[in-house]
Amino acid sequence: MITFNDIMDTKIAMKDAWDFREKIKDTEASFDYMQTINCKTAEQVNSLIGRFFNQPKKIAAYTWKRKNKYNTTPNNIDLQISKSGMGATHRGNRIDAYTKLLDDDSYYESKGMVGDVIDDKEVYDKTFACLSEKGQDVLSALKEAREASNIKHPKSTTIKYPLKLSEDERECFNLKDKSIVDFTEDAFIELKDDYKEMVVEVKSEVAKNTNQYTKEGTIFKINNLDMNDEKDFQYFLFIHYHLKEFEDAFSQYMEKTKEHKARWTTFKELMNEKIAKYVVLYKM
Amino acid sequence: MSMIGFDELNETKKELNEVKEVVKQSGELKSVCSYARDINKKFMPSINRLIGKSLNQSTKADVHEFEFKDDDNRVSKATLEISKRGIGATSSSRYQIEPYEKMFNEADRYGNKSEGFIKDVIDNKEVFDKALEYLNPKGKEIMKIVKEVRQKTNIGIPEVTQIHKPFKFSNGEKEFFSLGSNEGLIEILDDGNSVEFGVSGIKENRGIEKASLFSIHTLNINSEEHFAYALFVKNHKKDFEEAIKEYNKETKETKDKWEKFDTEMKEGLAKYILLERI
Repeated sequence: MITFNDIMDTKIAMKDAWDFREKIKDTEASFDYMQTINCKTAEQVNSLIGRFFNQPKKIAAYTWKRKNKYNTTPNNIDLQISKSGMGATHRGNRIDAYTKLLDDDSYYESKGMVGDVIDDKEVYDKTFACLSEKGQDVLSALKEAREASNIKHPKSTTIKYPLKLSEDERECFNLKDKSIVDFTEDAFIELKDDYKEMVVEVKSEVAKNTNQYTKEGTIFKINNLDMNDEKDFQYFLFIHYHLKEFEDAFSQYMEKTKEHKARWTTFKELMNEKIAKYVVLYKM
Repeated sequence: MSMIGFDELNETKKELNEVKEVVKQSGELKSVCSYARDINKKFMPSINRLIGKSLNQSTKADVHEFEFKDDDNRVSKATLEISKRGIGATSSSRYQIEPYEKMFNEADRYGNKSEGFIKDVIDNKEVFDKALEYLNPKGKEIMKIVKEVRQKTNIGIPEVTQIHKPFKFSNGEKEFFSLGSNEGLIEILDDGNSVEFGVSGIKENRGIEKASLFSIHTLNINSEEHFAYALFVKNHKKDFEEAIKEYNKETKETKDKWEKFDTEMKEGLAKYILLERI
């Protein structure tokens, strides 16, 4: 029979599981990292283009036939430049400025500033012609950084890592469903960068059939664990015994997101170098 | 013992089966206060209807005049009256009788003077006798039944019951629950609706403030989240059983009184209620 003294001794001995929990907490979600650059740079570039726009009125740089989110019939959309920056206008007069470099979720089915403008030679040249020298410099910087880094749409990454449970663990977590023959598949670690944070959960197909767990089969979520919460003791114990698998899943995530993230890091650095002087100037 | 394994956890879990009975008992605890409150208002609609039907005056009868303080502490006058709607009070600003809703008023609806049908009418000889004057023999009989049952059972205002049973946390428990002291309380709290059965202690990070650690009536001993709580209940099974016993003992007299009142009132009023329905 376990005593509370045994539990306390065990809590001390499973510090490795606590450390893993901390590591997850401190790891930046790759998706959020990329999306932040994606949005912030578009905002920065737009401010500069608006700032360096030297025409008295807005300029229509290009006209598309494009559908909006709620309509299947394409309408004429103007890509315009004004003091508000660069963006599209539809029936109204105000510019709906780009909020992202790639994959803009605006009212119009836009591919973002890079997809719409930088990657389309005709649009780019027309836009370029409407800008002052400094504006052209900013736009060129974006084009160069884009080409050098080859950034792609920020996307969420999911890792599913199978867990082999012991008989005792299956008994403890009520996962003794006889219909599941292949026990290597009876539980898994799911690691997902759910935009704002990296979420790590232990799930099981069998767990979907019990009332104890969520309908997604989540047994526990590492992000929610608290070392000082007595309810989480067994979950930390589980992490301790499967630390290698958790570390492997984590490494897989880091590996899988490495290239994508590196491109965005390169892009960020290049952009910083190229437009830093304008940003500083603008802020002054 | 070295590091706990899941095999040891499962072995211990099996031994925790013996706390199932305590958890079951705690979940079955019924609020005696709620039981008494239900009976407190259960008979008033029937009594009011029967008294209303037994009024021997053509419209209404003034039984008693009294002063009361309103919400703003101003003294107002009200009259205890009987009409076809039953027995109740009318204030100077209202003409309709507001019939009594309860045997004992916990919420002081008519101001300080009104304490419910029993205190205002049954227990007050002057008011009781006056009320009888305006009723036909059937109405008088009903009033007398209430008086007799009241005297026989000696019911009082339904009150909540709370059990606070001190106990000591072991050092391991104290450390595990991050407590600042070994002093703990097993509490059974009847709030008038339901019964909460829990364990409290002084949390280390909250100074002297007592904190609720967990509830027993909602424990699921098969859930890994409740494992430590179930283990705790096993270690203190005797204390929990005693607390349940104490609650049952403390509420027994009240429960018996109201149970008796319920039975006797049903017996006494049955024929009149039946007659009224026919």
